[in-house]
Amino acid sequence: MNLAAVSRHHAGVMGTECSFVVEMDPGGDAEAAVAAAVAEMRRLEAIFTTFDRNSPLSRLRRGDLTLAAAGAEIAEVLGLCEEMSLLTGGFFDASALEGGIDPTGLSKGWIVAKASGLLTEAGATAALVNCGGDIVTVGSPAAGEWRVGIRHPWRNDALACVVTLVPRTVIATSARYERGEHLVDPFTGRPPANPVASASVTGPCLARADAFATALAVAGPTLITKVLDCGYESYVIAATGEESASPGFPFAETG
Amino acid sequence: MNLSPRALLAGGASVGLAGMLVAHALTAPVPTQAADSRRGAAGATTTVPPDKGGNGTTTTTSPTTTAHEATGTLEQYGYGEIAVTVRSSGGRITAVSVSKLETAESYSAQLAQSAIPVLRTEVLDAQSANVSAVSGATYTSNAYAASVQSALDKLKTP
Repeated sequence: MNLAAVSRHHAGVMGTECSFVVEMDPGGDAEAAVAAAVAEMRRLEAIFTTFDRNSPLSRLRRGDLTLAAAGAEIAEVLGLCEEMSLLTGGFFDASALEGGIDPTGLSKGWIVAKASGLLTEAGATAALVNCGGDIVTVGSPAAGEWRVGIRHPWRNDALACVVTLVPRTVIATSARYERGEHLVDPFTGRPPANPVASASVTGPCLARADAFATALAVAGPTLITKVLDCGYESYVIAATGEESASPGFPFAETG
Repeated sequence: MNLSPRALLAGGASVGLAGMLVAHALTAPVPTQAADSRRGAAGATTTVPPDKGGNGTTTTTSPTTTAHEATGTLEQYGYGEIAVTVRSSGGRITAVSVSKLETAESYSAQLAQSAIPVLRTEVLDAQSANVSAVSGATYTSNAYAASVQSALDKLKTP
């Protein structure tokens, strides 16, 4: 019988609320574990933020810094951007907007996942980290799996569905519209023709799930097959209310 | 982390979407059993077809109950506009429907109207669904809520 203590924590990171559910053996210091993860998120955020014109990414974007000098983190994230552009047939495109390369479509997920590894290093037996809807899980939860809701696209207090996440899986939901940022179809340079209200992706890696969710929000449910071929399950709600999902998307059983 | 491709589509191979996708309307007038069980719906589904009536329509549904309806203001959101119609009976909200949803690249209003999501009594409540976290954010939340509030305000004023 697992006697792990469960605690919840919150922190403001990357302009959004980040919540932590931490399972830890009695005697462990969950607060310290969360503090370490949050500190790492802030360190990584400082590299990628485009709100600070002197961040390494900002300097790279305007040509004041070469890629070779930009550091391992930027190199890894931009490499992922290239990979995801190929895997999504161009629907995820970090170069779609003016101003230079913009990895925002996956950098948040990448940062959250990297930092969450510190939780198990600090002794957590399991944890779920939810940063503005991007969710990563680490360790092995006492219940064997996590139940996660997907927010209803039209109701603040309702869920569209519940999913189960087995250990070390993630879920990313496209939510860029909430902050008023525009999704751009890289093939037309304009907002998508058939808007998607919500696109959720589950799988092993949060950065990739993030990028797939972004691509689905632009391309619509016809991209689900391609995403499935990469080992990621999807669930898309169109602006009309119509739902589509890959067959293995982990909808929870009733009850 | 490494990807584990579950299948590789050979060049030129086509996969019928019908076999790969489960398509279901979030608010189909006749929800399927599978859809209800998938979303953990408790109890029967009640759907109210979108009412094409204008503002402040009053219809009598029974000798003692009168239904009222009002449409809220047209609110702007990221991709277009939304207006919400609220129907009430006996002082309680019985249905909320999106009466106008225009997008930048729009559909015809009629196409949007045909699949308007309708508030149902068994919409999953985030509080009672026993989840550890919630993924995602509302699409038109502010505009939707503002239009609903406007409709409610209209219903309150005789």
